[in-house]
Amino acid sequence: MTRYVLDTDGVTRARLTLADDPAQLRECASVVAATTAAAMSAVGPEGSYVHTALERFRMVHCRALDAVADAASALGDRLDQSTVEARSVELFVTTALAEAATELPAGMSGSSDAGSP
Amino acid sequence: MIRVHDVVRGSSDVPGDVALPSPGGSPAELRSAARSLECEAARARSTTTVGGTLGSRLGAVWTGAAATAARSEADELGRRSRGVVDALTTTARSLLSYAAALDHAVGRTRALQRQWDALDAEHALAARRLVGATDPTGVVRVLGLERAHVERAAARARLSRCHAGVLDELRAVAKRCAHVVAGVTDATLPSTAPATPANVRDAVTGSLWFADGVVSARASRTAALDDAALVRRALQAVEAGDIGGWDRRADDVAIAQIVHQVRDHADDPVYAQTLLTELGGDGLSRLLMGAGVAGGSTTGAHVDTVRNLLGAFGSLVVTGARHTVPVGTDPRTRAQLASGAALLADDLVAGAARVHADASGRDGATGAWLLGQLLSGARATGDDRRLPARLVRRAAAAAAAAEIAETRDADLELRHGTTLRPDAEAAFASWFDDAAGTGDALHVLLSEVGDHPAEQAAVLAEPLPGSSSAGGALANARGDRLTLGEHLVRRWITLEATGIESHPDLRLATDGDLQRLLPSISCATTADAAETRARVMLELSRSSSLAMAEASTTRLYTRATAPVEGLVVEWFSAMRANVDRALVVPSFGRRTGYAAETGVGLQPALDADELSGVIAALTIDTGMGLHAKDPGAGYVRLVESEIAWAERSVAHGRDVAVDVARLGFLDQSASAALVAVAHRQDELNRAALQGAAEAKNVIEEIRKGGPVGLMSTAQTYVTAGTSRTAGDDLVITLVRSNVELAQTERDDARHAALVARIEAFTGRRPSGVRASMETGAGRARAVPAADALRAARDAEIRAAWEAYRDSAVHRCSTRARVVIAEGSTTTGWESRRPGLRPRPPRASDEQSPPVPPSKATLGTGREAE
Repeated sequence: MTRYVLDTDGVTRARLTLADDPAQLRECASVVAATTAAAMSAVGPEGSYVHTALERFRMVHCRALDAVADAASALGDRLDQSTVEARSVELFVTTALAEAATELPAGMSGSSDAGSP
Repeated sequence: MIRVHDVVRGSSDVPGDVALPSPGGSPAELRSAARSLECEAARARSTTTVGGTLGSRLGAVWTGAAATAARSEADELGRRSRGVVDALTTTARSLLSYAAALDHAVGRTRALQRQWDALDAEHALAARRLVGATDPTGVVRVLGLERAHVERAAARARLSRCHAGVLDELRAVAKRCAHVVAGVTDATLPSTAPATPANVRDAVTGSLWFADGVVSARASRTAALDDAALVRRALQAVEAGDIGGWDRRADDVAIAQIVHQVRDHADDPVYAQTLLTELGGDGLSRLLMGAGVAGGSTTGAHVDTVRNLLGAFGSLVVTGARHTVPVGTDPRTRAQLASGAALLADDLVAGAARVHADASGRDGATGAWLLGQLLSGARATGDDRRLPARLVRRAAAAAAAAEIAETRDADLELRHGTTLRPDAEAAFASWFDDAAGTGDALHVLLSEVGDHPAEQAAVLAEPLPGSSSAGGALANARGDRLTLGEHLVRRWITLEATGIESHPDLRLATDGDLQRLLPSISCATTADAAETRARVMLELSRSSSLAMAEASTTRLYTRATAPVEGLVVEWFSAMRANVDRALVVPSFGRRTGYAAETGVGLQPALDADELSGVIAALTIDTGMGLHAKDPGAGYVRLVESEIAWAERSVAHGRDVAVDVARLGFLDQSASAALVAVAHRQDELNRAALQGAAEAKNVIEEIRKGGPVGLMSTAQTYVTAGTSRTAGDDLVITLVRSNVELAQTERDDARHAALVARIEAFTGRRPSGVRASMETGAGRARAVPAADALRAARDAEIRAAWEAYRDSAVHRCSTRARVVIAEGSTTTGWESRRPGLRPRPPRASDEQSPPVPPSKATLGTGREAE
């Protein structure tokens, strides 16, 4: 039997490690947004430069974390797709081999069967 | 601060926290925020995505090019996300730095405030001491107070400068921290770009194809939802109106806006599927019907509007139904597009037979016709993308079933799928040029079929879906479910024949469809191809036998069957082995199915009756004139092919008796078909003469008796069922055509010629050839011999004469019983001289005994032709 270069179970396990990533990263973005807002109010009038910098930091990095979360989700789907395709190929090949074995004449199906009653 | 100092310069008691206020802000909150950012950064780093451990995990379980690509994608995403997360840590550190600086500044300010307050206290003490000291002149007190004021002012100025320095130092730290935060932010998104979600996504996950797909899919869905709302608002406006349709001037503008929106996304499958799903099959139909697609045009501008609408949504349907996805589409969107395309295809197929009415209820159209118009619209706008082959097959079969059902429902207004009236002599209605093609939904769908033989063969073999309206009409000659190939043959006969009655120049696009598709199954020896050939041959046989009853379809056969017949001849020759088996086992085809193995692969398997029907279809291809006919060109080709095969059999020393028997079967089947047509023509001729006689009698009765005569005629019809007299029937019997006899004689001549040809190359005696031919002929339907037909004609004339004579005797008996009795004993047709032709009976014949005709006077009946 052919040994496949894709261990679908292994890839599925690897994909499962990504399962929580999108949620974690989205929650991370939410916390960063709230935290940065609090920091902006805590810098005081002498920290107006910090305030301005934090304002842009907040907009950029919250959205950046959301984008990373989406990408993590898409990457998990991409691995799922590879696994499904690999399973389909495996099933197709296995079925083809089974059909080929069925179509063999009885005398060619194996030496052990030749002498069996 | 200087300003404060100036304000309090003259004051003797200004608190330090007023004179030197502490800097704002909360170091504790800043530290809390920094800790929170650190925690979130740690949490993000703990994920597999940011941690970058996915690549190594995949490497352990997956190798190869695909694995390398997946690992590189995972690594790239990890690298980019770590940049984002590192910015959190850097920012947290900056916040801590600023918090520390703020703490320090607050501490130093408070120290300065204490110094300020201490200075004031010291100044007050010094002042009290000077006031309490002995100074008779007061000069010392004044000078002392003045010095104390100066010293305090100098100290305050020093403190103020220190305070300003502290704040400046804090601002410098803030500036440095802000610079650091802005730096990490710029690393994520350059400061030149606005921090919009699209820009940030592009900067963080741009060029990661799987991530880009998610983003673009989201944008497409948003646009589709907005446009679906636009369409719904337009529909509500139409349906809320009193006119029940678009106000052309106002609503054409609304359509134009919808079309503009849809055209912008015509190639976007996510948009297409989302919009069509939001609208639903019913919503799209309502939009089209509301736009007056089934209501005819009112102005040239409206025609353009409707065409644009059909074109835009036609392209949208093509986009949504195709399985192709844009490059870079992420896996989830790809999977969603695949299932969305399947669902859309199901909707289109399920809606093919549904009749949609506009708001007024006057106009209607089937889903199949609307789909055909949408596709025609897409093609008219230059969209040449094809629908998926599977959808084309299913939709074409559904359109065919809807077409059959339409002929059996109670809706008389709907014609070929719409209430829109076709122009001039066109059979189909369409908003586009060439209505015969663009208005024929089935043809439009078949035009989507590619040139690959397997694809074309699959279309022909597609079974029609069930239909409650069509019922038994969906069964083929054997009672099985009709396939698309069979329907095309049936449609080509029935629909075109119906149309040709009123429009002699009608050309059904099915002619071209059959010519294009049938060759795909001509040479293949697979079971499917052989079954399709068998089904087409059977349907041709059945439709032909039905069509021969109508002159119009005979004309159709004369001019249009050649391509199909030529193919059938080839198929027939290729299935020679199965023909021979059917001659041995009459139920061969029905027992084995549509195909059976031969030496050259699987070929159609028909029983003897079915084969006779196919031969009949090839034989009958001339008009309905009252004369004997020769077999058609298809039959001649078939016979020539079989003779050539028999000659090769002789040359190779094979047993030619089988070939001769097959030729006998062909000859007998052709004769039976020709004689059947001739017999039907005789019957039609007799019916025509009988009708003329009835009309003549009615006119005479009315002329003679007026209303009384008319009443008398009506009573005659009620009691006898006819107004014809025995004299009329006798005349009709004498003058009616006898094509059947003429055809039989011509068939006998053709048979003799065939026997002679076979004798020539086989060298067998005529009796041997005839015996072999009769073996095959015995499997075909028997036909009466010429002598038997002559005898039957004589008997028919004799019976008519006797009926006439009895009638005359009965009439005379009421007037002169004696005379009639004498006449009946002295007259008889047997005593008349042969060779005399009878004169037509007249009314005066009823007064005297008639002269009977003889067989010899009538000849064979050819004179009647």
